[in-house]
Amino acid sequence: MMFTPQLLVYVCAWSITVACRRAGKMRLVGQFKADEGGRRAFAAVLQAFKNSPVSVMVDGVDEDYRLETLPHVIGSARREMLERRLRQISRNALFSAAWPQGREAAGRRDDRYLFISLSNHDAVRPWLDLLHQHDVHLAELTVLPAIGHVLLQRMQPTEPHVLLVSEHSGGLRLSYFEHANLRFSRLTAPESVADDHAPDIADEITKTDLYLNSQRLMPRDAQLAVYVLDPENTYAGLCREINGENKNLICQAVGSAALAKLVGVDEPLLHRTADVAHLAVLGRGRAAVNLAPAAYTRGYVQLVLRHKFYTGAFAVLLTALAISGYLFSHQHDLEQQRLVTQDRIQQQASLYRTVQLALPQAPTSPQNLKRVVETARALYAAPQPMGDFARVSQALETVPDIAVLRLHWLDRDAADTAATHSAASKNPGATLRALYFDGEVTPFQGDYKTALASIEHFAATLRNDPGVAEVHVLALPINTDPTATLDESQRTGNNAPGARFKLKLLMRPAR
Amino acid sequence: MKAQLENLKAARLALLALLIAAVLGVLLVHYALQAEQAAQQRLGQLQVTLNEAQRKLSQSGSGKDLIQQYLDAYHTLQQRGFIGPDQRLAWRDALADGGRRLAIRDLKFSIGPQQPYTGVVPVDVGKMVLHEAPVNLTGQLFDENDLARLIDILASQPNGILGVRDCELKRSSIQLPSPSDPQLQTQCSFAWYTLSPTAANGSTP
Repeated sequence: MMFTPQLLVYVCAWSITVACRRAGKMRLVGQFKADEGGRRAFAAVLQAFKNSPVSVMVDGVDEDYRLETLPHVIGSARREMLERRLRQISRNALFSAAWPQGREAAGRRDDRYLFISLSNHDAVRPWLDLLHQHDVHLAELTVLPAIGHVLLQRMQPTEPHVLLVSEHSGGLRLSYFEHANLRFSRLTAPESVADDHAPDIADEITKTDLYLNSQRLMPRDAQLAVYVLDPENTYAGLCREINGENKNLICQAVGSAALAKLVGVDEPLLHRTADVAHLAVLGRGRAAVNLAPAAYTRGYVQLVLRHKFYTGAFAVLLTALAISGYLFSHQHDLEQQRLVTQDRIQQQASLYRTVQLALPQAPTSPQNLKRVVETARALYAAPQPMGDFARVSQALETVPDIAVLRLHWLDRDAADTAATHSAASKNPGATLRALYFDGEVTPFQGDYKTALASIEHFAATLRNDPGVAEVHVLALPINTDPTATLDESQRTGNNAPGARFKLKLLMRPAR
Repeated sequence: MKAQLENLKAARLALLALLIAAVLGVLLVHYALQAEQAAQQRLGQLQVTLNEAQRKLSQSGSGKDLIQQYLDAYHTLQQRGFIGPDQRLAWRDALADGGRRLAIRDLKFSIGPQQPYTGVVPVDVGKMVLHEAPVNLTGQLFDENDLARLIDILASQPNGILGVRDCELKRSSIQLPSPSDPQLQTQCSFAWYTLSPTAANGSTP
C-alpha cells in the first residue's frame, strides 16, 4: 500500500480539511465547507481516490470522555466487558471506543480505560457517506486529542502534567495529559477566539488550569507544562506573558521549524492551514483509538487483505524467480564445466589411442597377461606330496625299527587344528597341508617301553625338521592315559599284537 | 467468522492470484531444480568417464612394461595348453600312458566334469575364468618312487597345469615283497587347470 494514495481528512462542524499522502510525501488537497457546495466539490475530488484508504480525524464539541477502572481480565472476557461498558457509557453511540490507559499502581491493579464517544455524529456522517459512495475505504476514525497524544509522544516532554494547545479550523483545542495519558480535552468554538488570538488563548489556558485544579484532575500546586503549537510563529510573546503571570504554568511555543521536524513535513506546508500538523501524523500506523465500527471499516479490511494477497503473490513469484534464477545460473555453470570435461575426455582418449598404437601387439590386455602368468606360476609352485614324503623318509632313517604302513597327503585338511586355522586366517595362502603317517615298530616282542621310546624319537626327529610345523600323535601301541583302563591279553607267535601308531604332520607353507 | 468469510470472498481474486503465483512458483523452482540436478548428474557421469580415461592413460605407460615382461611367458603357457579349452582326451591318454610306462597294476581313473577353480592357492584372474577338471586315480605300485614318476609324467604333458590335491600310499603287507607283486596301493586326487580368456557370457576381458 506504499504507493496507494492515502486520504487524510480533518472534520469539524463547519468544514473539512483534506490532505493526501503518497509514498510518504504529504500534500494538501483542500478545505471544503460543510454545505452542499463543499460536499459536491469534495465528491469531485474523491473521483481520483477510488479504492484508496482514508483516515478521518474528528474535532468537535460532541466528544465525550470518561475515565474508568475495570477489573483486569484478558481475552474474550475483556472484550465482552468493554463492549458492555461502552454501550452503557456511550448510550449506543455509533462511534465510540475504549482506549487503554495502563493499570492502577495499587490495589487490585485494575485496568484504566478512557471511554470516548461521539454523542452527535451529524457533522461527520455526510462526509463518511460521500467517502463510502466513492469507494474510498475508511481505515480509521479517531478524535483529534488521540492524534495530539501521538504528537506529544514525539515531543517527549519530561514534565508529568502537560497541556497541549493547538489551533484548528474547528477552534482552539486544549488537551491535558498526565504522564502522557490523555485525561481531559476541550474545544473552544471559533466565536470565542477574537481576531487577536493571543489574549484569548492565554485566557483559555488559565481557565483550563483552574478547571483541572478545581476538578482535582491535577494535584494542587503542581506545575503544568503548556505546549502551544505555533505553526505561524506568533505565540512567543504569549508564552512569556503566561510564564510571568502564573508561576505554576510553564509555557513553551513549538515553532514551525520544530513542528515541521516533529511531524515530518515541509515547513511551508504548515503555513497553509492550522490542521496540517495533526493531519501529518494521522494515518501513520494504526491510531491509538479507532471509533469506527467494523461495518464502516470492512471495505478497508478487505482492501488490506487483497493487498496482502497480491503482495504475497508478488513475493512468492519474486522468490521463485530468484531461486530458479540461481538454479539456472548454476545449471549454466555445470553445462560449461561439462563442455570443458568433454574436451578433456576427448584429449585423454586421443592420447590413449596414440599410446595404444605405440604398444607391442598382445593377445590380451597387459593386466591380463600379468594375471595369467602369475596365476600359472602360483599353480606350478603349489606343494607336491613327494617333497613331504622325502622328509618322512629322512626321519625314518634315524629310527630303523619303524616301518611305514600308510602315508596320506592332503593339500588341505578339513580336520586341521586351531593352529592351522589361525595361520590360514592370517594368510589365506599359507594353508597348512597335512600328512597322516601310519606305522609300526618292528620287530616287536611286547616291550612297549622301547617301542614308545622309538615312536617318541621318531616324532621328535620330525618336529626338528624345519619343514614340519606340528606333529600330533593320534594313536599309540598302548594307551598310557592314567584315566583309561589298560586292558591286554598275552599272546605269542604270529598272534603277538603289533606296536602300531598314527601321527599327523602339519607342514609349513613353502617359502 | 462470517465477517472473515465475507472478507475472503471479497478478496477471492487476490487469493486466486496468490494460489496461481504459488503454483507457478513451485513449478518454476521444480523445473529449475530438475534441470540443475540433470546437469549435475551429466557432469558427474562425465567426471567418472574422465577419471577412467585418466586412469587408463596413466596405466598405459606401465602396460608397455607389462607386455614386455609377460608376453613371452604368456605364449609359452598358450603352447603348454594352459590357456584354452578342456583337453580331457589328451589327459586320458596321458594317464593311460603313465600307467603303462610305470606298469601300474589295476589302474583306475576318472576325470570329473570341468568346474570353476576351488584350489588352496590364491589366484587373481580378473574377469577370466580358471577351470579345474578333477581326476581320481587308484592303482598298485611296485615302488614309492613310481608315484613321483607318475606325477612328473602327468605334469609334463602340454595340456594344462596339473595340481595334486590328495595322495595316499598304503603298504599291502609288511612281509618281504615278492618281486612279481606290487606292494603299494595308491589313491590320488589331481586337478587339471585350464584358463578361459573370456568370461562365461562370452565377453572379452
